[in-house]
Amino acid sequence: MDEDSELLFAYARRGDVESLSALVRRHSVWMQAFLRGLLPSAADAEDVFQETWVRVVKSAGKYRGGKVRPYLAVVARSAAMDRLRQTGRFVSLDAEDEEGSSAVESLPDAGPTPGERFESKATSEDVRAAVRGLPEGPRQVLLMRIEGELSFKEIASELGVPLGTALTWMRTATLKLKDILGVPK
Amino acid sequence: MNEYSEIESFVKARLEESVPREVPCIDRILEVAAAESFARTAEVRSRRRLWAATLAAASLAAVCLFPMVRLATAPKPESTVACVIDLLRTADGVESSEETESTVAEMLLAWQDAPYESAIADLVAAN
Repeated sequence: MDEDSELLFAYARRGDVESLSALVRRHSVWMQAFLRGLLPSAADAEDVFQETWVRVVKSAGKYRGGKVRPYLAVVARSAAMDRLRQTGRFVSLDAEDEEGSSAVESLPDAGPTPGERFESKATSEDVRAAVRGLPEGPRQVLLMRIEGELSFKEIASELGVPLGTALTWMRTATLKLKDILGVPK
Repeated sequence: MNEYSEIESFVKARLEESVPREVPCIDRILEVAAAESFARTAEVRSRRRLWAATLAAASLAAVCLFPMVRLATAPKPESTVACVIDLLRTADGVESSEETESTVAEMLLAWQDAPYESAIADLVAAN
């Protein structure tokens, strides 16, 4: 059992709030980055950050082990989607499916060739703006992959799309970001 | 091998570097966590108390019902006397057929009357 699981179990079984505090601190940075990528404002991200942990706390008794970070990412995404629904800014992935799939075909093959290195001078704000500019499906797959550390199979299951679609969306996201952020050669 | 890992690492690092290091709403989160933990502990205790009370009631019922069940299933006194007679008869080596039953009864009567008969005979002889 890894340290994160031990901390979550310590809270779930013994009510050890100190363990939960440590867990929140360990996962604070990536989760905020994840939520800022999913939500339109920092204030929304902060609210949903709190809501995510409240949900984790309330369902801690149901935690049965497994990697904590992907588990937290799934809870955070669910809370973020609820927030977007409440504020009328939710975009269905069904509408994004065709756009995301066709977008990758319209892009030139900008994927790295062996030995080629990715270079960029883009700032944090540039990157965040570029991520927010991605279609909904590719954006969610990218964030769940790089911040939530979910496998593509888990991402596909969570989004309710075929594995191939999740992979295509990831390719769309990386190609677009490389196109936007990469240093022209 | 992930051919896009460099882009992914770059994006991840940039997204995370501008995030504030202090945890937002940590006090509120821990407050909810403490309340939830307290509620969960109270629920577990309440469930344990309910189980203990149920177990105690079941034990008490079993203890109270045991003598009553024994009384209800115990043989009646008449049948007990019959059983004893049968047992004694069997112990004496007497068969328990109807024929022997009447013989035994006659023998008992004879034995019972014997002292009187001999006393009358003695009286008659004396007179």
